[in-house]
Amino acid sequence: MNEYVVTALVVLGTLAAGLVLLLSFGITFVSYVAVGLIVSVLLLSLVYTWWKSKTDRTVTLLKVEILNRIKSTVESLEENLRTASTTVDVEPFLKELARIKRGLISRGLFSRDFEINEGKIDRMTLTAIEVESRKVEQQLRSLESLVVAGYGEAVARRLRELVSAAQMLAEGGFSVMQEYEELRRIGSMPATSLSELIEKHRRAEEEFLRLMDRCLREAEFLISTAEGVKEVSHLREELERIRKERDRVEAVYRLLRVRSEVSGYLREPFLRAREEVVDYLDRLLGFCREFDREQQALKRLRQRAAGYADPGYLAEFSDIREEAKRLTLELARALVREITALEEELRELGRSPESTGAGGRISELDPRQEFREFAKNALEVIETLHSHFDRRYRTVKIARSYAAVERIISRKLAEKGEVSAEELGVRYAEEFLKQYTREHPEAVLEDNVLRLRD
Amino acid sequence: MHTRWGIIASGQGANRIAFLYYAKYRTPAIGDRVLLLNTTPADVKPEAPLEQVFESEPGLREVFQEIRKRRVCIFGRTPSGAGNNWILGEREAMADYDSIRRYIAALGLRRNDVLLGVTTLGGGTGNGSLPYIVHRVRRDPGEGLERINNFLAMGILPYDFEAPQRHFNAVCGLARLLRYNGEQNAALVILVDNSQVERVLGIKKGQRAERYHRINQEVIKTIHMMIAPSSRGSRGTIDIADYCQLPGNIGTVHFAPCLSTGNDPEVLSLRAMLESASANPLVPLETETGTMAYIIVAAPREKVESGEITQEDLEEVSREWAAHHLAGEGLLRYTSLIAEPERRDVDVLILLGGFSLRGIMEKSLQKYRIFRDSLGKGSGGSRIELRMIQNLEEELREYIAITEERIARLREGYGSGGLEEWGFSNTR
Repeated sequence: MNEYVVTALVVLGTLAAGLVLLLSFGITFVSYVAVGLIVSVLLLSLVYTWWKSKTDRTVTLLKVEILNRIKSTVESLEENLRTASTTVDVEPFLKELARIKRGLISRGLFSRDFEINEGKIDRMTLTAIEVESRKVEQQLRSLESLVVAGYGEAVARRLRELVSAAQMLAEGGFSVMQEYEELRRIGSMPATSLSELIEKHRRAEEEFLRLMDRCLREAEFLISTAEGVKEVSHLREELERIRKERDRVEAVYRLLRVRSEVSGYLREPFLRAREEVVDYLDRLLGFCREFDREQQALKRLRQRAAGYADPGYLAEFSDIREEAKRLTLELARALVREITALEEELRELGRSPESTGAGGRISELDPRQEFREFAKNALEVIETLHSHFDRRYRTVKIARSYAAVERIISRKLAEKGEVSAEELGVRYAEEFLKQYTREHPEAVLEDNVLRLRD
Repeated sequence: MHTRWGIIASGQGANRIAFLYYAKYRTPAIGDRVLLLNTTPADVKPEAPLEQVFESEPGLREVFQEIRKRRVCIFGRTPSGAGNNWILGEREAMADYDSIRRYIAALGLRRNDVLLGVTTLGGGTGNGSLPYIVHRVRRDPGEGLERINNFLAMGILPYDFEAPQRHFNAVCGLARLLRYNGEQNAALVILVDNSQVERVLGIKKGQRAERYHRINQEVIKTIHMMIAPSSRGSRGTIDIADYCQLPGNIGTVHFAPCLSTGNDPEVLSLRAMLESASANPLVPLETETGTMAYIIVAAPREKVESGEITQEDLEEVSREWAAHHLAGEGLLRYTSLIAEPERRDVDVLILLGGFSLRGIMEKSLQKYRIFRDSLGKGSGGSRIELRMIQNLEEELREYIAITEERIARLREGYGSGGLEEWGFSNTR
């Protein structure tokens, strides 16, 4: 509010002074004074602006920033071009870039070693430097586009090669499916600028090297496994040679040849080991129908063993054999537990089963034994335990169901004086009839037919 | 939607059975629809008749407290209860029917639902009141209660050794459950005989202390199996309409459970299980006189789903069983297979119907007559009038005659089925 008052007062004061001068000295004098004042103010403004620009550093800093940006872009492009030079010919582009640099130096913006020429830029206006910057940026963009066109195609070609090589290795038996999938993923990544293309290429090469390293380790392991079977020193030497050229796709074919040869040496022992374990597990499975948990575990192990088709997995069978021993012991313990429980149940049902000594049989199983010896011994022990279990199981089943079957037998005997095992329609029919004769002396069993005594 | 059931247990013995059933099986078909009726002096403390039950298993007292307020109805105006006088039990129910009606209405059952009335036939309260309640609910239920036509009754017959008066009560109770005021009463009357259950369970002298508990368990199993076809796992064809309407149409509504539980499906075939059940009737009867059978089998779900036990197998085995055991292969035969998830064994219930009542009457008739002949000729109040007894005898005789005639007719067979009467020639 005060500002309006002051302005109004100044305007009124000026008008009053003009009126006084007009009335005192006349129109001519007042016109000279007014023109003189206006000219003086204009001159003072020009002088002030010149003086201010001479003393303000902000403009200089802006000029330096623009030039730094130009410098950074040029150097980054130059570096990217040098990186790309391992894949495509970038000489023409480097020359073009050198020409742009020379232009900047000749215009005095940069020194010969491409540093900002601060001494000279003071004499150049900010506008002139900005115009120069826009022109250079346009030139650099055009240059990068040309490079991307050629380099992008070369990177795509290389990635196709790498993916194809990885696929061959995965299909050839090496466990590199994960790395192969990662390579495919990198290949499908979008990349439009030169830096993105360079990054994509770098990651693909790194992943391929990781994949090759894994294959080399696998091949080395296979060669070590085969050492006891065949003379394989030549393969080990070849592997060392491959290791030195592992970034080259050609190395893949040689690596596959090494694997194929070593697999050939391992085939026979592999098939023997697989058959031995699978056959053992199959026989063991015949004894665990009533033991779901143990049966499932054995089935899983059998599936794992039978699922290996490549001799390269020969070493896995060492683990599988140990696991088979462990599961055998678990099955034996489960059988003993059940036999004990069934004996207890028989006692509750008023029967007194003779002792089987089942628990002691477990100590006959020694997992430190060589697998073949262990398996032979284990099958014998498990068969005996299962036979005890089966007998007890049947006895319990008969004891539990006897009351129901006894009613049927009594009724049929009352109806027609005889009953055969077949017409009872029960499992263990003969045992039921025998038990009936034990508990009913008036009945006699002849040729599986129960009759009332005369 | 599955059929909803409710249970009304009248009298102390029935209270124990229904309460134990509720505590053991809270199936969706029954929910909490269990009503305990009583008149005894112990009614001041309604849990008194159940003390023996509470002692049999821990936690039952707490279960009782859950239902005590809503599901225990004390009826009658006589401070001493009905005792063993069924006339008094009936009078008390008549006089206090409004109270009973309100409790039944609170069960929330609708017209097509099912009520199962349970009573021991030797006593006074249940034996006197249940036939009257069945009659009222099926014919004239009164305000606020829908007519429930599907009202089944289960009567527990007294032990052989019990006094003549108890057997007199049983015969009268049976007659009144079968017919009331000259009309069919309960839609179905299921009979269980205490002494027969004791025999089939093989309860020996030394085990008499636990006899009641074990007999009750058998009755509970029977009730559970009867209700099972209304459960979600049912694969069969028995619908409640079959239970309730067809026997009434035939004029023979008495049934007896033949039970075989805990069968090992790896040992016994379905045929053997049915044989075992039919050798195990819970009343003294000759299976061969049966004319109707509802066969209910509860099996482990995995055996049903794997196809080891199927409804089709059950139908086939039932057909063979009926051809061998029922009079002239029987009039009605329905089967139902129920798959239960937690089950490992197989339970079989054959509800055998229309059989000769000779076995039941044989054991009770002599004692019945001893008591009847000792009755005075007085009348009025709660005295048993000879005229009333004569009416009951007449109704029962008529019912027995129909049953026996039907059995004889079925046993004779129907030859060519009367083709000649329909105009077919006798030669092919």
